[in-house]
Amino acid sequence: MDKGLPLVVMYILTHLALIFFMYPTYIVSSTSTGHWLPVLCGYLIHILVLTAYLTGLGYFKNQDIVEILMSNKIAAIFLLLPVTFYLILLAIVTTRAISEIITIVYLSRTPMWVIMCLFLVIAGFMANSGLKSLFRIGILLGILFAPIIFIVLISSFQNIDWRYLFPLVNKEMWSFSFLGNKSFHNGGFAFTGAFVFFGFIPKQIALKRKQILLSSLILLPVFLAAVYVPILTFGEATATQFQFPYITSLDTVESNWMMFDRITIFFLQSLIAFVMLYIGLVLWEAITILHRTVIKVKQNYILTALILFVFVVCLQITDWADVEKLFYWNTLLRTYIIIVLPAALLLLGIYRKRKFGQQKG
Amino acid sequence: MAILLLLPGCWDNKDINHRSLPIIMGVSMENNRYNVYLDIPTIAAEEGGMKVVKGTGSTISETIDDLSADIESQVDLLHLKIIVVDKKYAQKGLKDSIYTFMRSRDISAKTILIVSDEDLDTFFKNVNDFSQDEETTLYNYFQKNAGWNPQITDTRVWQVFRSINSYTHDVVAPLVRTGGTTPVDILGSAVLKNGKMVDEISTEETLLINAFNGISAQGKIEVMNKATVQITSSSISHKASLRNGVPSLSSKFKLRVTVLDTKGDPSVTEIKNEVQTLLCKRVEKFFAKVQKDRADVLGLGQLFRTKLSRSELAHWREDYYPRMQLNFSVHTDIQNLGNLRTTE
Repeated sequence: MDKGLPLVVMYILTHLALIFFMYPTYIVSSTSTGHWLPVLCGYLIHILVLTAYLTGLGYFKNQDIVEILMSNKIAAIFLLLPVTFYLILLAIVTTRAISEIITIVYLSRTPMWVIMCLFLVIAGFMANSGLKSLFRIGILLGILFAPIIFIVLISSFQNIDWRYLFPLVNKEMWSFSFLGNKSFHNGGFAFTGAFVFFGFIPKQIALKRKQILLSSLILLPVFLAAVYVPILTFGEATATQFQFPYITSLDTVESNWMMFDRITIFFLQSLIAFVMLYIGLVLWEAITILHRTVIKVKQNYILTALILFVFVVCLQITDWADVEKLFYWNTLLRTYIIIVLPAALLLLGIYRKRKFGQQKG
Repeated sequence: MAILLLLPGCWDNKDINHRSLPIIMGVSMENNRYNVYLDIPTIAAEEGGMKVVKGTGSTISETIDDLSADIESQVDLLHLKIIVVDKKYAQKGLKDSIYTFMRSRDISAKTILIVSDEDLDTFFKNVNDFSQDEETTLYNYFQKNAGWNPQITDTRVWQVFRSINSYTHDVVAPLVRTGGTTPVDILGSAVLKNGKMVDEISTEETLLINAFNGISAQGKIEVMNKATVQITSSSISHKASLRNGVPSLSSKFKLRVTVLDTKGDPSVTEIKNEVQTLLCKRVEKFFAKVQKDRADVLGLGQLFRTKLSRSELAHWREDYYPRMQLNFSVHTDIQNLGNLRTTE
């Protein structure tokens, strides 16, 4: 098996987990026409950040991000602390949001805490078993569920009316007013929520920049479909009214051959697996940073404490408006992550290369 | 870990025999209070059949709650297939109810909406008399893979919801009446403009809408003076243009037909001409009617999305649609004459 494959699978699955729920909501409400522009902008930022991050990492063979930064301990703690905050906040928001979606689509009578508890315990189990197991789980889940996602994605085009695509281009679009829109920034989580894990890859697994960047091309049509299927099915004016536009447009799909009446449930079941994987990965990253920088106790203890903390915070969020607020805070942290982290790595890498070059010369 | 297995899914579970799963829901309005009817298949082993319960309340959900409290099992709308509203209520405007259905976590967005020409008490009584032991008669009637015909509109709750919010797209819903020798008599369609019934159209006109929307008019038999033909396939192409703020549309309707009956001895050209004039006349009449209602049931505004800006589209129904010109032409191919020869 190609050594880079688990990485690519993980990269795609974690992004799939993020694309279909909140992302369409935010992009649809970020502008009234030409939604492809915000999608494309977000995607370009994603590629830019990813390239910088991977190039930066490429300067340091056989070292992961914690090792690289730990050469100066205080700087490392300052640099990695926001990353940890960011990851924990991601875990909180994702857990809370997904349990909300589950209660909306099915399990409407099940209390939220049960769902969140289930999520965190399973994700915690994954995180506990380490990165390699996470990769193996990823491949298994990919084989099991990616075909279902693919089929559902195709059948979601059933009720679309291509004419809703227009107007594709108009004048006001080029003012890039969506860049100032809060929704657009909130939607950015789908692009930047999962790239940090490339920094934690152990030496045995080859980090192939080209392969990863190429595989991100698979995601572009999915990003576009998640936004455009609801718009083409309902029209822009209607799509803005939905809490989860893509999920609602799936609800309109008719299929006689399916044993379930609504393919939404099928789809959600598959995505939930990916979301669990994603939360597991995020938790694993957080405890790895904490374990190797500040807290020198057993990883299990940190994990248990972290899960309890996330759970308690999730319980405190009773209102969907609070989730939105957290999303916004997360955006601020995210801005830091996508600018400072890749930039720091790049600069450090270039500095190191120069030093080595001088030493050789 | 093992305890966790107890948690998912089975929370607060209720066995299926303690649930009522209505298939049809009826909604009407009287003195600003909702009457809600639920048609529930009974699952007793011996005698099947349906049971209709009725409740009144100030909102739909309140009424369903009350009903649920009054009957011995819990009402679960997860399998609701059809929502019937009575004509009077449809004329008042369905907006609130449609929003309730869309917001609801239980009711599927693809529930079929139909309008009843008679009051719902009679409707449910007749439907039940007819489908004594077959619970899904009415449901099958509207199913594309069962009893559906191209003269019947297939309108879902989400489509009505879309039309309430859309600038350029209205819908029609089947208008039915019960009693007689078939489960329902289809009278045509109710024209719903922004969720409010403004007019009704005949079954032939409904067929035109379906053909317009690309749902092939296959199977429909046209009765004319000289011949009966069956449409085997149809396609339509449009050319939209906008001059001085007056939209105009040239539509070309292509038909492939099979000749079924003839009266006398008409030639192929005569049959073709007859089909063409008949359809053109029908379209003109129909279009004039919906244009007067300002209800864009054909979704013609969609074709002008490239020509008008969004702010202009927002006034489509008021400013542009009533002035629109439609040039409709029909092109017929007689694909199959059957076993008998027809003169040229």
